[in-house]
Amino acid sequence: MQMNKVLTGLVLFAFGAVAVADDPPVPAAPPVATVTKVPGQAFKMALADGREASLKVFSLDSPMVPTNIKVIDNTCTDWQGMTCQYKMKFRRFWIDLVWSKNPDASRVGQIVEYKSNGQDDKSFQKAESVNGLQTGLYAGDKIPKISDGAPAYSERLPLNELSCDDYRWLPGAPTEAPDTLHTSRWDSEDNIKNAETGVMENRTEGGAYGVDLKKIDAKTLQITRINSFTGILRTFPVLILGANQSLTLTKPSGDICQVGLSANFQGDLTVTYNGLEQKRQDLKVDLKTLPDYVYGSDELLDMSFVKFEVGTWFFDGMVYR
Amino acid sequence: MKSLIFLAAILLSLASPASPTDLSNAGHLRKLSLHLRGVTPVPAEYAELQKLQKDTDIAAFFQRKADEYLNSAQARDRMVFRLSEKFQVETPAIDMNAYLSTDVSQRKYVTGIRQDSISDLFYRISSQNLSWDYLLTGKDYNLYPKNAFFDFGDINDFDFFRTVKPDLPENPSDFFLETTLADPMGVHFAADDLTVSGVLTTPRFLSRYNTTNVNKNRRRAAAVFRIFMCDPMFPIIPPPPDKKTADLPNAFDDIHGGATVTEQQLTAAMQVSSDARHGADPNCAACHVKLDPMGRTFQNIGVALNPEPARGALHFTKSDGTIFDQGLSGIGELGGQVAKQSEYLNCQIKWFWKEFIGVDVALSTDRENQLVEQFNKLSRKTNDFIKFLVSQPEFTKEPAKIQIISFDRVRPLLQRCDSCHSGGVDVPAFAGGVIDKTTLLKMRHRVNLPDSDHHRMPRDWARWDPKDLDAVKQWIEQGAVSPSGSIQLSPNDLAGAK
Repeated sequence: MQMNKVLTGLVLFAFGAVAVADDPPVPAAPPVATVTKVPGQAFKMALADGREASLKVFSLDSPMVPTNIKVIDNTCTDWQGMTCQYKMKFRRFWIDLVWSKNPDASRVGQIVEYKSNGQDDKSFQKAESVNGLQTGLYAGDKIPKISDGAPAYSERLPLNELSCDDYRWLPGAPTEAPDTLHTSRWDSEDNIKNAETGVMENRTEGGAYGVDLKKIDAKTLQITRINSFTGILRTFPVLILGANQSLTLTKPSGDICQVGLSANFQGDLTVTYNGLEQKRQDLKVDLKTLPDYVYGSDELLDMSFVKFEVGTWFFDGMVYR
Repeated sequence: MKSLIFLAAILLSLASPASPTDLSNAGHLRKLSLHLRGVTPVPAEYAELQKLQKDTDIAAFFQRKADEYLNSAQARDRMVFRLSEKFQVETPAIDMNAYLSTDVSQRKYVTGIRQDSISDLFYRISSQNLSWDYLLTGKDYNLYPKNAFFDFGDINDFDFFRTVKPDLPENPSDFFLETTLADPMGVHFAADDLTVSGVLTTPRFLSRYNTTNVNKNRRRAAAVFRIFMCDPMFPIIPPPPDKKTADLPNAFDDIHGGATVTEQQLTAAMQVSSDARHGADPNCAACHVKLDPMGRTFQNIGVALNPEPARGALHFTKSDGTIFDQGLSGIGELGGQVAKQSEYLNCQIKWFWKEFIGVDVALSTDRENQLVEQFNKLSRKTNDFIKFLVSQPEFTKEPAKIQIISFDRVRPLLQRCDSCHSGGVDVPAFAGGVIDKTTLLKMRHRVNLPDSDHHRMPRDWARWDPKDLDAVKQWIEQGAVSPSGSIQLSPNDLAGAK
């Protein structure tokens, strides 16, 4: 799967199923699903006609993925051309909503299908998700917030790291990793339409503000805190996606300076994403045979990936089969 | 013969209409309504005017109408359009048929024109008669929800401001815009806040003038210089021969080759520090010495505000030739500093003149300075100044006849050019009067540069009689008539190079 498809998937789960956007749900439509979301209990959907469905969740973690990033422009020092590595680990999710009670015995154990009331039967979509990705940027008391829930971040995955043989590209030109590093802006850019002019152009698409890193060894810094995320695409943490990135740093004099970076995160992420799918297939995992998902067991309750991911399946006015 | 006919046609078009007299009262009313509201008066207004006999009654009528029009919904909407054009952000879409209906009861004013923080600010400038400086110094914003589906790819007010106001909610619009705010949500920043500065810190301004790794906010700084200080930011390095300056909207693109060079290619080409390169090359430094310090005040802002202000400076050569250099602790101080500059005042007066008097009425330097004084007396209040402007005699004057500048008039002046430029392959003998188009257009560009620009021609401009300088400028604008009477610059040449 190409990276743009991965991103499309991420966009879809972030904003709901686009297929229903052309034909919004009819508010008065029955039957309304009752969803049990009690921490520590199995997640369950019950319909007024007695049908019930439960959730099956499977996840796989990638190894630490190193991506080469090169310093291509620098106003902090005269040093550039250095190559560093950005290291991150990913968790990919597969989620199915499966019938546990259904008068049609052939449907039990099958993935629930849903559509908005009023749409024809061709509009039925499977209640399954295969595009979920998390990485380890959740740190301490500061929760990165790209949207409510921020499911793209995990507390259980190791924090992202930056590793360089040479740090003389940083203000003050240190030869090894400084004890701490603060960047006021870590932005990514891409070729995107300018909403004001309609012209496609290279533009900042967003990133992170107030990024703190701390030294874990002479060559490695770990991202320990991110004040906030911003992004015009409002989907995945764009801090790590764009091919062209810039770090805004402060010189010892207090003046602002900027380092330009070039990377191939998308290529590495695509390889990792596809590799995890291959691994799942090699393991011959059938989600339908897994135990029911216990709500809140994936992450902290407020950060529940499931809460965010499956929410779009339960609009009022949905019909299920 | 053909060229003489062409010349006659140009001169006729420049010189019309012929009457130098005052507008009739009806014409005055029509102009007032059109300039302030964008629509013509209704018949009842003409009838009311016609009944008035005494000059004092007529004067009072126009005063009242100016107030009425300035406080109309159309005038406020119109200010949003005017400022959208000034800032080159997208103009709101409206139903023109409904908007311009001659039946007042059927007129539908723009609904939803205040759909985001920048258009709301434009609107309030008019509706609250705010100081014009508020465009630069405003610290209050109204936030509007956005439809997450249709506005996908464009940051909304809430996401933009929440980085500095963490208590703000998510964009209150849901995916289908089924829920909206009844009223916009106001956010307030302290007067000394370093993170916000009027229009400059709104999502749409920053989106319009976006930044990149290579650009480092210079596009944003160039927009500030262009819009607020009338610094044209003309490229010093000529664009590629197949491109005209007019084709390229941004100075950055002009200078760096426009669409012919991608920013990645540019980055790859700049294997030395970009700041060092720009500082070392005098052609680059001419602009970068202004752009880079101001750009740094934007440096921490990507697509949203940043709670950490970035230090920078306002640095430029003033019109009297002195260097202005003031350090800034953050973007929040930039607008206030710009608003203190005389270049800002003169630039804004020119804009008001263009919008409310018209480009066809000449504005002399003395008159411009008088108006600056009046602008200050009125505390730079927007509507108060507009009302003053439309009460001035120029508002009711027909345009003056254009004086034709013959070659004989400029020959001795061009000889002064030759005293430095001795003629040759690159520079012709000007006083001969036969000059190639490229050189004429270059002359036109150089003589119109601000006095502070070191490329301004003539170099000894301060010793020239302003009337002589104007004569040279007009001679070029009228087509640079040669000694034999032929037009050397066609209207197309002039329009294409503007």
